[in-house]
Amino acid sequence: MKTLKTFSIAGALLLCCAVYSGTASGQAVQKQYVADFGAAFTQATVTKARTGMLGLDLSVGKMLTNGLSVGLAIGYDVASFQKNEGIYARIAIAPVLAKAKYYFTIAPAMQLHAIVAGGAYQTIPHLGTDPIGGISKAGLHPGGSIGVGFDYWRFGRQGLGAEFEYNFFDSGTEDLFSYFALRLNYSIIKM
Amino acid sequence: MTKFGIRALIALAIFAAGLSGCSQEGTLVIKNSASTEFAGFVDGTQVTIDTLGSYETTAYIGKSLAVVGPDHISIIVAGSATTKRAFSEEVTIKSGETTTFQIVDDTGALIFTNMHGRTVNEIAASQCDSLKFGPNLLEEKRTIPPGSTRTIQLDAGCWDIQINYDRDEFLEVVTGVEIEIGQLIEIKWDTNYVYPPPASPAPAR
Repeated sequence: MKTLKTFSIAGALLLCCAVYSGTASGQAVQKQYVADFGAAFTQATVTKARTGMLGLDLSVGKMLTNGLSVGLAIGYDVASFQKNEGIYARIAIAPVLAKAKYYFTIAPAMQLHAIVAGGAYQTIPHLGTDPIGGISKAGLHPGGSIGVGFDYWRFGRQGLGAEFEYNFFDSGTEDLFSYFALRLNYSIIKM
Repeated sequence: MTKFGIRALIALAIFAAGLSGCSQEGTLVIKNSASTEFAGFVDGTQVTIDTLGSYETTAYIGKSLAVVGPDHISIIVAGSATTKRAFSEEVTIKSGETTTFQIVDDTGALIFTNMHGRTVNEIAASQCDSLKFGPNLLEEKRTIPPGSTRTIQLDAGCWDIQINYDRDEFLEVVTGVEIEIGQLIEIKWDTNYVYPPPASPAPAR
């Protein structure tokens, strides 16, 4: 059921990409590289998850066309955090993803983008007795993410942006482990 | 920054504020409808519930965002009562709902007191229409010293109770013990004990 929902969301995103298209003007173009430095609020959406916390992420992509970039993303996301009797119970996730971004221009300095990524998620739990989303020990899990975002290009070849990314991976239990990141990005275009 | 950019940031801020209120909880009510006190664990917490009493707890399910995330959780309810055999069951609690779990009698019980001067070593039971006694009903290596009491769970029916006592392991049988689900029968046993049959209704005139 959860997988079906995920693919429905991914389908809707791809449809959005198909409807909107356009050439970026004043933003990254074909053969350029874009690096995004992100700070995010990350929240797990699984059983026993507590309020999330900070995630730090870095992604680097090469523009294959004026709209499509493909690259690598890594991060460290604390998706559940609880202070309980002096113990900081938390679960951190380090994604290593191959990421595709599709940009479409909505104004001279503004773009929207859609994300599809796949790769591996390293879980780093520091928990008490209760597992979170079935995760109680460190492990490497296959998964992926989808997302949408907004970029505002200014300061020459630099930009500020925000994005929402939904990550999911196989936890090895009954349900998918999922978490979202609401991220602010600082981006640099490199020739 | 253009008006569109400002609007987009405001929308994001509202969206972010909305995300913080996505905790999912449900309520579990355990009602003890058994004839005796329940003692056990609910999701790892030790509880005792009096006869006809109840225990209520709020179960934290997790976090969700719109259609994504958990809307239920399973927790373990385990324990026993004198007239309820030991059990361990998984109970599913849905977000925003109250789930009621009922504990009901599923056995009867003998309250056996040793009034004899010697220790009771073993107690076995057989159906009244059977000649074969079953295994020792006392827990391993737990005898009944003089003056002590033990509770022994028995299914509904008519039972003959065999008592093994003293160092010489004498045997004595108490016959015709009728028991029903949820019923407690007290036996203050000594040698030559005769179980009193239930009082029969007065004959109709």
